[in-house]
Amino acid sequence: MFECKAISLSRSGRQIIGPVDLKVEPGELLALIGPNGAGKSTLLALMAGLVKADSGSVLFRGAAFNRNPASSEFFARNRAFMPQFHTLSFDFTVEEVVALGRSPYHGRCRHGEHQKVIRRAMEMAEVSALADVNYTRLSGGQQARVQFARVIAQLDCGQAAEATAGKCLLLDEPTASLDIRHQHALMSSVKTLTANGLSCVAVLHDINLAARYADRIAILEAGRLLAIGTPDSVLAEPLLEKAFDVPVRVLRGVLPGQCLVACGPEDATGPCTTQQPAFGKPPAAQDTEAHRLGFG
Amino acid sequence: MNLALAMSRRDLHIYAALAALALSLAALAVLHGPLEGDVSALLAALLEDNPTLSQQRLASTFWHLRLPRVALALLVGVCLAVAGVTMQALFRNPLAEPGLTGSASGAALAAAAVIVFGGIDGLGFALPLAAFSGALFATLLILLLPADKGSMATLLLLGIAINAIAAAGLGFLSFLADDFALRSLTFWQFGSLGKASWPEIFPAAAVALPAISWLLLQARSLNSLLLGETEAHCLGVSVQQFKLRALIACSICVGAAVACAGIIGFIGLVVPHLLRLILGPDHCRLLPASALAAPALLLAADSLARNLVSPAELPIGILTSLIGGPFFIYLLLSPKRNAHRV
Amino acid sequence: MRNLLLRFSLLLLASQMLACSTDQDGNQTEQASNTNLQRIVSLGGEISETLVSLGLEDQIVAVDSTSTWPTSLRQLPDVGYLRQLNAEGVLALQPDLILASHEAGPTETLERWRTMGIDVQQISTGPEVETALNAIRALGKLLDREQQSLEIIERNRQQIALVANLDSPPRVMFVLSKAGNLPLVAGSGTKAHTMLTVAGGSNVAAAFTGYKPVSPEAIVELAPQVILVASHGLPSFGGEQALKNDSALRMTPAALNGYIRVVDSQLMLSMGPRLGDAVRILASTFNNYSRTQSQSVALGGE
Repeated sequence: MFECKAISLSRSGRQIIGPVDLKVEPGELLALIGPNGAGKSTLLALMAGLVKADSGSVLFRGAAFNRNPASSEFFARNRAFMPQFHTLSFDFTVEEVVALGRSPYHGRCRHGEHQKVIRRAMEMAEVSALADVNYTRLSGGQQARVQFARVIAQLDCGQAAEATAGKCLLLDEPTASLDIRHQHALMSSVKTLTANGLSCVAVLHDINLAARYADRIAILEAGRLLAIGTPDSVLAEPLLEKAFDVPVRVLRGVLPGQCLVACGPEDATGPCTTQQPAFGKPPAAQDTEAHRLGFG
Repeated sequence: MNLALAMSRRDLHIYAALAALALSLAALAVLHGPLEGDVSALLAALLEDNPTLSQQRLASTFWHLRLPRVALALLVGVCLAVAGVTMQALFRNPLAEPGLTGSASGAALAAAAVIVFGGIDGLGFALPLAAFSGALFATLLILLLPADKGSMATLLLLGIAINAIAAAGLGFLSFLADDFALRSLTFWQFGSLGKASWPEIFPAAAVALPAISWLLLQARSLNSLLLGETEAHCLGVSVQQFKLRALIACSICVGAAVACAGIIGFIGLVVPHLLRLILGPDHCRLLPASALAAPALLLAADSLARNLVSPAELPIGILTSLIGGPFFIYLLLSPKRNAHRV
Repeated sequence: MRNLLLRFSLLLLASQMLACSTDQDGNQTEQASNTNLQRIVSLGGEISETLVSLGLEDQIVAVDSTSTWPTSLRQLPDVGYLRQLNAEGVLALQPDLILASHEAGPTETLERWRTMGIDVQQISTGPEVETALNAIRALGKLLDREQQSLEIIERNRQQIALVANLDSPPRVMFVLSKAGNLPLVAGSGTKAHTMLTVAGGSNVAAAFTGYKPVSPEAIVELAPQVILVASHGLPSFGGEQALKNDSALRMTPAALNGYIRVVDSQLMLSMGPRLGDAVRILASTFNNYSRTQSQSVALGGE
C-alpha cells in the first residue's frame, strides 16, 4: 500500500538514511521511534516526497511521486504531512487554517461539503471552540492541534465515514507540545481514522504513547531500522538499550494490554511499583547524543 | 470566514465598495481636471460635429490626456498591488515590497543609463523599454545564479546584493550625469503618471496583463505557501517551480509599472498590508481587493497631484504616502482592528 | 469599513472640487484683464528674462520654476519644473503661445499641446554665448520685436568686448553648492564655465565636464585664486561665515586672499539678456584680483 523500497540518502558524504525497507498497510498505525538524530524526521520527509532519495523508491498504491501536476494533486489528496514545527505567522483564524487543508479539493466539492469536513476535522482535533480565534495568538499546543485538524481536512474527501480510507497520514512528533489529555485525544483520533482504513506513520518520542496506540513500532538507529514489529515484540529491554544507549525497564501488567517503558538505574533489578513515572523522555538522552557523535 | 471556498456576503460588500470607489475616482479623473468645462460641456465637446477650438481642446484633453492617465493609473496600481501581495506571500513577510528582488532598482539603473547617455531626445521609447528590460534582467540574474534557490533567505540576500549593485551604478551614473540629466533622473525616481500616452500604455498592458491574470489565479498556492514550503508542497504546490514563475511574473508587473510611471513607492508595500488588516491574510480575498484598492489610491493621489498645485504638478509618490499613510496609522491604532477575528 | 471608504472618497471629492474651483476663478479674472493680448506661457529662466526685457511681461500668463527674475514673475502661476510639466494644468491657462527652452519636457506633452492647436516654440538656449544671444534673436523674431532684440544683443556684445585682456587670467573655481559633503564644482560645458571664461578668468576645473563633486585635497591641488559660489547654493554650506571656514575651501589661495565671493545664481547662470551685466561684474572682480596681486608683487619687489 505505502512502502519504502531500499531508500537511502546521504548528505555531504555521510549516510543519513538506509537502506530502509518499510511497508504500511491500510488501517495501520506505525510508530517511528529512535534516539535524537537517528533520522526519523528525515525518513518521514522522504516518505512525504519532500526530499528525494539517492536510491530506492517510495511507492503509494504502487505509484511513485513525481513532479507533474497530476501527480502532485493526487498525492495532495491522498497523503498529508504534519511537520514538527509550524511557521505560519499571518493572522488567519483557526477555521481558515483548517480550511487551507481543503485546497487540493478546490472545484471537487460543494461549499457545504467543505464546511462539513472542516467542522468534522475541528471537532476531531478539539479546536471547534477556537474556530474564530486568531491562529497566531494560540499556544504551541493549540497550534499543533489546529495543524492536526488541517491535515485531517486535507485527507477527508468528504464522502462518508471512511472518507480517509486508503490514504496516508504522516505525523512528525504530533504530540510534542500537547498536554497529556490532548496527547491521548490526538492519538485516539488517529486510531479512529486508521480503524476506518487510513494508514498513518507517526514519529513519536514517547515510547509509551507508541506502545499504547501503534499497531507496529519501528525503531530507527543511525538511519537504519533496528527492529520493526508489534509493540510487544519490539519493546524489549536489550533492543531499546541498544537503540537509546540508556538502561531501560519494560514493565508489563501495569496497564491492561500495554507495556510501560521506563528509564531505570543500571543496577535496579527489583520489582517496580506502579508509582514510577512512566511518561517523558529518558533523562540521559542528551548524553546519548553526545556519545553517538563521538564526544562522549 | 469561508476561506478559498465561496464569496461571503461581507466579501461582496467590500469588493463592491472598492470597485465603486475605483470607478468613481476614475470617472472623476476623466471628467474633472484643471481645464475648464463641466460634464455637460465635455459631453457637448465630445458629441459636437463641428467643434470650436476650445471644444476640440477639451475633447482632445479627454481622449489623450485624462483617459490614458486613468488607464495608466489602473494598470500601474494593479501591477504594483498584485506584485506586492505576491512578494509578501513568497517571502512570508508582510514587509516585503515588489522590488525586493532587485527588479525596481534594475529598472531604475537601466532607465538612468538611458537618461544619462541618451540625451534629451533619446527618451522616447528607449526609456520604458530599458526600464522594463532592466527589471526583468535583475530578476533573471538572481534566478540564474547557481545559488540554492530553495531558500528564500538566499533569494532575499541576492536581492539585497543586486539592489546594492544597482544603487552603486545609479550613483555612478548620477556622477557622470550633467545637471540636466540629474534633474530628469531625480524626477523619474519620484514617479509620475504625467507621461501617460496610448502608445506606451498598450504595449505595457499587453505585457503585464497575462502576468497579472496568472498571479490573480494563484491565490490558493500563495495561501498554501503561507503555511510553509513543506506544507505547500504537501498540498500539491510545486514549490520551486511556482516560486520561479511567481518571481518572474512579479518582475514583469514591476517592470511594466516602472517603465510607464517611474518608481512609485508605498502602493505595493502598504496596500496589501492595509487590506490584510481589514480582510485577513486569505489571498482569495486579498489579491482581488488589492487589485481594486491600489488603483483607487493611485487615482486619488493622481487627481490631487494634478489639481492641487495646478498648473504645476506634485510628484505622485508624495501623495500616495500622504493619503495612505494616515489611513494606515488609523487602522493600526484602531481598537476595532481585527474585530471580526477576535 | 464601507462607511470609512465612503467618507474617504467624499473627502477626496470635496478637496478636488475645492482645488478646481479656486483654479477656475483665477483663470477667469486673468482672462478678463488681457483679452486682446497673446497669452504666453514661458518655460525657462532665460526665456522669461528675455520676454520681460522685450517689454512683453504683461503677456506672460505663467512661468516655470526656473523663472525667478524679475521677481514680479513670481506673482504669476508657476507650472513647476520644466521637465515635469502638467499637460492639462498648462492647458487650463488657455495659452496661445508656449515658449519653451529646449530642455522642457516631457516631449510627449509638448507634442500633445501642438496637436491641440497651441503654438509651441522650443528655443535652443545653450551654455555658449552665441547660442544664448541667438535665443534672444529668435525670440525677438517670433514676437515681432526683432529690432529690440538686436539692440539687446548689441548691448551685450559691447559689454563683453569691454572685458580687459588680463596678462595672467586668474585661476577661478565656480562652486554650485555642497553635494553631500563635497563642493559641486563647475567643469567645462557648463554655463558657469562660459561666464567665467568670457569674463577673463581661467576655469581650474576645465578638465572635466559638468558639475562634479571635488574632494578637499583636489581643491588644494587646483589652487583656485578666486572662488565663486552660487547664491542659491550658499545655504548648503551653512551661510556666509561657514563658507569662509569650509574645510575644503579654507586652504586655497582664494581663501587666503579673501576672494571667495557669493554671486547671484540667476544673474550668472541664466545667460539671458543680462549676460553682459553678469560678465561685467565677474570681470571687475577678476580685475580687482589681478590688481591686488600685481600690487603685492610690486611691493614685494621694492
